[in-house]
Amino acid sequence: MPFDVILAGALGASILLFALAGGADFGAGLWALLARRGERATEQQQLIEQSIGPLWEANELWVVVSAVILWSAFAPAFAAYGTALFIPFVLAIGGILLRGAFLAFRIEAQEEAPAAYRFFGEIFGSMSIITPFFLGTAAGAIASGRLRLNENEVPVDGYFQPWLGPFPIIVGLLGVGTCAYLSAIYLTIDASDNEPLQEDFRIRGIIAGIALGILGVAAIPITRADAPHMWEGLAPGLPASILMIVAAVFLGSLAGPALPPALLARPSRRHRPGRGGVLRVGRGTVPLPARTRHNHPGRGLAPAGARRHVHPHHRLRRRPRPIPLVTLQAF
Amino acid sequence: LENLFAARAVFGMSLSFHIMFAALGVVMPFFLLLSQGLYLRRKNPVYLALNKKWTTAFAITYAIGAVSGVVLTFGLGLFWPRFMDFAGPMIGVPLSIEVMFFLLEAIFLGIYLFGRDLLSPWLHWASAIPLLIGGFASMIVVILANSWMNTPVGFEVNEAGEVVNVDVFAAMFSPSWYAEASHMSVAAFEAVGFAFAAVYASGMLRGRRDQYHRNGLFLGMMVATLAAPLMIFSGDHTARQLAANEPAKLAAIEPLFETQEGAPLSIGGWPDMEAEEMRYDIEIPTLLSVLSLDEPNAPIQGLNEFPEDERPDPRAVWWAYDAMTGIGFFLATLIPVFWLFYWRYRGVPTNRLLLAALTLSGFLGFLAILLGWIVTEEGRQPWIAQGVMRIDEGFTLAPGIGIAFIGFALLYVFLSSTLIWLLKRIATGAPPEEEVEEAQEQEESEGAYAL
Repeated sequence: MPFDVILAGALGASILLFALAGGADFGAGLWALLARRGERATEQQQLIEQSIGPLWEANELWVVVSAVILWSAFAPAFAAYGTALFIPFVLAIGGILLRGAFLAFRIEAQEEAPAAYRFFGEIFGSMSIITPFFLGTAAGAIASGRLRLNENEVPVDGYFQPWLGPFPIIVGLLGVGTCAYLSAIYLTIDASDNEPLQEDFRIRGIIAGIALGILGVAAIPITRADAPHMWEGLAPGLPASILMIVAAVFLGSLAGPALPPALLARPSRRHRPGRGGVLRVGRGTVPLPARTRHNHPGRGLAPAGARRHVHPHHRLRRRPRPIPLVTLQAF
Repeated sequence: LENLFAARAVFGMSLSFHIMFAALGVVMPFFLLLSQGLYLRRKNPVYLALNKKWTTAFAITYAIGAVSGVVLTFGLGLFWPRFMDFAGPMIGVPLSIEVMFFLLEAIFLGIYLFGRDLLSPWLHWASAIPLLIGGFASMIVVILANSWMNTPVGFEVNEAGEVVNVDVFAAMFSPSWYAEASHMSVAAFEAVGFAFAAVYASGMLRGRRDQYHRNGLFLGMMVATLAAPLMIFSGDHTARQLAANEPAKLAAIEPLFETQEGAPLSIGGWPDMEAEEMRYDIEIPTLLSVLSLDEPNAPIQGLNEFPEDERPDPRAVWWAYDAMTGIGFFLATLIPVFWLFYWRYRGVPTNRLLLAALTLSGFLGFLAILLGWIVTEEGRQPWIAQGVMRIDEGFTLAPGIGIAFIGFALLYVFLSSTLIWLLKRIATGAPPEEEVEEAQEQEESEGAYAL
């Protein structure tokens, strides 16, 4: 295999690891920001700090790895990105700086300066949303193939247009949604010793999953209209489409009944033990709340049609087993 | 050109901000090891109280060091894309190695912070060793990248202006690497040692006389005392390195306008650019030649040896160099004075003047580090990579760098003021007696368990 392909693979892997590991951290900031009211708001905040406190610096590593591979192996590309996408990148690194610093401030402020605790949390939370959004718009601008520099290495379309289009923005939103979703799952697993708290994050996971599904569907026509280059790469690829559908079916079957979504569930429906979906891990025989929560797998860009494959299949299943923790973590 | 200035300003500001936390991040694990090791051997709860306080402070400073480092990683591509396009193959390697040490440090920081009650005491102590190694090695490899900019080697440029035949190891260990790396390592230990001493000296100035403050001050001075004599050798070696490899920088910091045999060392004064001479300075005859080349009559290259558009501006560096060496000598004299008092009073001295000087030394150490970097970077101008690429060929063409500069400046001011407020809060949060008592109780209960 040529060396540049290996390097590109390493770059892709490190970006993916940042999206997964760092993404869960960023999403936790979003949930911390939203944990304002309710009896367990403080508990939620504390769970978030305990979960990501020891890890977030190590997770930040992957973005550094990505940048280092970019500049040592793909230096001209990095130069082009840095020039044309100067604004979103500067906003994203400002966000990284602020959120990290204020997460650390916050963890220590809880004991030492309780009055500032909330204020520090607001900064940590809002900056945790800004960073994945702008990194997402930058990724969208790159992926859509719209970055063009003239012979003087000045962007042809200026410094705003490349990343302020519909496609980069929807990718930015997908970035935020993915972070929120990943983080909710991660926190659900982490809250396994606190039943009500786990339920809180399970519900947040479902909501984020639904939002992500909607965004993913909305991204399809936007990709077609605004990122034709990428659409061409996706559309005719039959193997890729099949792979996506298979992956969606597989994830959906892991996730349990996908439809009807929680919003449509009737209160009168009898709850069925063991039918809870993806986040019901580790609950064992603990009874469900009165209303059955249905789950949504939140497949991001998976085609909408895939869901139909899942639905009847699961209707027929009488007693789906709870999902093992290992599977869930892999998921 | 205004954009260039803004790019330099924003990057210089980011580097200055980062470098203070980097120095703390390198040396604070040493203090953690020291205090915890002393506690484990001597069972003196004061050391445990100190160790816990320092762990809290380290968690915060490390986090800021890490995120400001991420800003720099991206910033290299954002503000200097054309430079990175050129230099990426050479300085990318040491910076890739830095990532691994960063990972080591980040992982063991989590273990150290959250493992105090989970690990056995000595194992917990040992988990700070990778922290020290990771921080120290990160600093060295980042300086390797900077030393390449001062003495770029290990590559060729072909006729099309492309970089070819990159020799990674030669580029990593360029001629100035050892002088720079050793100088900065010693400086970090000296500055942080004095900073630790300063924290407790300021507490003692406000009337604290407890064991907690005395031991904190003592440990800070111990580390500073180990570093300060090394600094004399390191400074000397760095000056020789400049004479051998970076003559323009040496001429600018002195400043020496004309090549001279038996060049004098000039202190203070004002460089008159019109007349190309120093005014109102103190000159010590032949000392510069002696210090740089060991010979009273050795010739030292002056600025006139270099084309006019390739000379660094002495006005940008000479004051920083004089101030840095001045601080160095002030700190070096503070050490014997402190130990003299220590010997005379059989313990940590409480002389107010000495305590005030020690408090001041905490700021001066960091100031000297920043001044040293101003000398290194401004003294290389107008080059971004000495003799290979000019700085106005390297900066970004994106507009609005001025706005980015203002934004980042506000951000750093905001971060620093919050940090100082929080650290002060932590330093004075609980009276040390209480901390010590708490540690003592904990120790007793642990002892009871052991029985």
